[in-house]
Amino acid sequence: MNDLYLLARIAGSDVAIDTRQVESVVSAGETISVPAAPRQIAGLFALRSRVVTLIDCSWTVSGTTAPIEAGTNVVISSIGGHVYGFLAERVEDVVAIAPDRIGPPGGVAPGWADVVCGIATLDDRALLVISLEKFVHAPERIAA
Amino acid sequence: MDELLEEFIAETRDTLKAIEGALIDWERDPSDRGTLDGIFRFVHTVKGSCGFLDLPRLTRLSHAAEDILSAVRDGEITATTDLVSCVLTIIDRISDVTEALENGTSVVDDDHLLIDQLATLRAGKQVLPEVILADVTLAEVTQQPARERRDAARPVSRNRSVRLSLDLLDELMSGVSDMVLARNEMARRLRDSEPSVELDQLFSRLSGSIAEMRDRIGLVRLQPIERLFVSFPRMVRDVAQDLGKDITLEIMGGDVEIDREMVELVRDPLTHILRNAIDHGIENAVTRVASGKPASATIRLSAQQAGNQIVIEVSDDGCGIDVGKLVGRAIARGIIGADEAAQMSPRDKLELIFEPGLSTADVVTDVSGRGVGMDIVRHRIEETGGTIELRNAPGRGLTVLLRLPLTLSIMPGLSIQSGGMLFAIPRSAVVEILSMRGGQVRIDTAGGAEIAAIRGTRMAFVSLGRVLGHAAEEEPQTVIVVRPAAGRRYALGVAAVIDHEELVVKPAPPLLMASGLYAGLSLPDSGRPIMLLDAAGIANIAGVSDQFEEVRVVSAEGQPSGEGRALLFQCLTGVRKAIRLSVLDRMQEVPASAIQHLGGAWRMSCDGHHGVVLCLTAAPAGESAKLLRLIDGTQTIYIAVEDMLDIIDLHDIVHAVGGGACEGVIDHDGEQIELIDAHGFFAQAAALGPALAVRDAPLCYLEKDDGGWMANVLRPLLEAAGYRVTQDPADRAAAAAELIASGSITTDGQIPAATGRVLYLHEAPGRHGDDTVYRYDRAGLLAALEWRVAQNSPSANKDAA
Repeated sequence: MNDLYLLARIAGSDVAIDTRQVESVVSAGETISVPAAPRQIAGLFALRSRVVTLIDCSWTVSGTTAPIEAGTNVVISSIGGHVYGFLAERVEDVVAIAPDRIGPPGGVAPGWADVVCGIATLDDRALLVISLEKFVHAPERIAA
Repeated sequence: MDELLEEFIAETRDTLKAIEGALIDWERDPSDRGTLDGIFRFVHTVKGSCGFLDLPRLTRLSHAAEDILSAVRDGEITATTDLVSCVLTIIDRISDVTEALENGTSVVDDDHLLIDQLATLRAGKQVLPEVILADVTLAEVTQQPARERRDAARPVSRNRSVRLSLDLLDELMSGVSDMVLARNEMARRLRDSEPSVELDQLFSRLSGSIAEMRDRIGLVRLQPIERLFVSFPRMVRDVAQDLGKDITLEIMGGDVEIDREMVELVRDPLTHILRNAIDHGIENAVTRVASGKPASATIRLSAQQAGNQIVIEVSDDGCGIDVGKLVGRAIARGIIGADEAAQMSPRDKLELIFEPGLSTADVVTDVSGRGVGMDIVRHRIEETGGTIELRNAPGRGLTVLLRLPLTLSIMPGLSIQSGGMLFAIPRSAVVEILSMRGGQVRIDTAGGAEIAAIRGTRMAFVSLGRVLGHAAEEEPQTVIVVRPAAGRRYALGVAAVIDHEELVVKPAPPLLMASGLYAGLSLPDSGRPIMLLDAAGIANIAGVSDQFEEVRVVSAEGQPSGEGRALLFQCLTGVRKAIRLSVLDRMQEVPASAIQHLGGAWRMSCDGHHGVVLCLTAAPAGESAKLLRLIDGTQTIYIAVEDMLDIIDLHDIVHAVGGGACEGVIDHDGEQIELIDAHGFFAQAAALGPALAVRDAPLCYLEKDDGGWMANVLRPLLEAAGYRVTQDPADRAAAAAELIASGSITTDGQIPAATGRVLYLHEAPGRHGDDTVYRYDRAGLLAALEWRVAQNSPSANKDAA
């Protein structure tokens, strides 16, 4: 059976996220920044009665911060009992990808290497299969 | 049948709890028929049910207890302490066996020993339980069937009440918070869209029921505090008996409700407080009687709800805390210095009891006195967001007040602003909030560290903005004195304190916690997440060392002289002034009633000290007044102040020109401060008259007159001015001056030749001669007298002779 993947664009790359990790996709609410937090944390916002910790994925992979505007897509995932939101430039679709279409990760840029767990081929497009959990545990990038 | 068994177990358990208090009441007053009847009913019921359910072991036990209780009821025997102990042991056994029955475990069967013991007691012998139990051989213990057996395999017993996991409750609560937030959002939208009256009404109904639901769901976590208190009567009885003390525990307010989790968290601290009261607080009967108290002591344990707090009060009528002894121990252990101790307020001294390793107990007992305890008690209480307070009445008892938040999930907090962002800090960590503008706080930089001076106490200062790394640094407008649950107090500078909030605190993700600054996060009703600051974490990050002792400036006065330093204080008029430390004897606070306006000046009399009070225009407001005491060697004067602010170093004094009571002006942090002239104050006080006549004051001779004017009218004036007065002609020659009414001058109007020491007093104004002065010209009179005294002082006289 094919697994379902959420197709999105994060930090300029097309990625596929296993839907089992994804709780929902929402629009970013009003964001509160947290002083003295790691740079990959873009802030907090309230999603109903829960507080979402917003992860700026582009900081992790490229060391640049992404702008947050009202309506920016956020992929919500619960990791270790906490709710995280991952900033995405665009969320496209949910597609089924057969396991044999996913190869080992190789040749990805150093920033991505920490979060990519495979490369999928879909309609001649190469997609980075990413693990959201790894964004949360990724080593903090030293600002250039 | 199994349902019956379960019912029996549940019922027995409930009744056991209920009669525990009755058992102790009974022991206290064996003649109380009411409590005896209650206990009797219990064993009787157990016996009846056991027979029916075929539980032979329980039947035997309850039968034995019933027998002896019945004998007591009939007056055959009297209830002694031994007897009560035996009955209690049997009831404990019933409880153990019942519990074992429920859990499918076993209890060693040496029931016959207990029953024999009762029988012996009944036969009228005094038996110590130990004697009997010592006879038990291992064989006897093991040979008995281990558990109460029933034929069929018993199913796992179920509780009759509904059990809810706290997780489920938390989920319910979070669901309700969701609803509240959605309601708030909807209310905003509705306001904007001008809804119809029907819609508006419908919404307010919905809104009301959501609010109600939120309140109710909070109550689900609550249970009567009785469940916490119920084990204490027995504990108090046992400990008191071990120590040979006679103590009654009175419990009030058991129906007050408290968070389920809180019950477990305060059980140990409360047990410790009670044990302390029994062991240290309550004296032995001999001492109690000698000090006029009843031999039997009372400990009161009460709970009441005050707003969103639960106040638990433990008060005993024992000896209270010997603060002097406590301070002595603290000095001996090097916790505080002797000079520091002298400056501590009574409350600070009392709170030394919370220092680790400090105890006033002379003897370490099994129960307490090892000096571990009160610090941990305070720590535990503060962890729950509560506070602990002591009210000590030496010789009459100690009251310990615990203030606990109603629920654990809601924490009272303060929302504060820094760098344009909102943060929360637990209310329990906040000691005091001060405005930078009030003049009570001063921030100094010393050796690279910032130090806040707050009313004579120095502590580390931490700017929240800097710790949080705000780019644009702002001047702190408000200072919060923070005391973390463990560690020293420090002053936290923030832009503003916004509000008091009830926060539902949740753990924050590890990425946010990594900075060590935060304790969690919360989502207030505003719908904007807020980070909860960790007071101890901030201290760590900011490098507030544990070694940084709060320095009490006053006690730091160990330097050889305070000549170059001055005390900065605030006058009652609000003006800030400074006075040299060298003339300052001490600062004290006296009851307002000790200051009275007498004899043309404000005078203070308290504890054998008295003197003129300056800088006071009206009777002090409030219950007490703060005074600075100045001594010039012989004379004591007091200056009334609003507050003592700080001790400052003196340099660059611009000397005053105008005189008055001002020595000069100093510059202090850009503010011009008047350095008051102690000489001026002493002079001012001296002008108001010395309190007591001085022995070697100059002597004046007053001529006797018929009307008594000299004695009655003039004499007091002279005495107030510091002269000794005589009207005895024998002393006339020794007097430095003579005052004679001009009316008594020879009838020819000739004024006798001036001798240089005689002053004539004329009845009419105007000038009548060199040695004459109008008798109501006070200034002229005193000046003329002074001149004469100076000319004719006793020593000058001697020289002349």
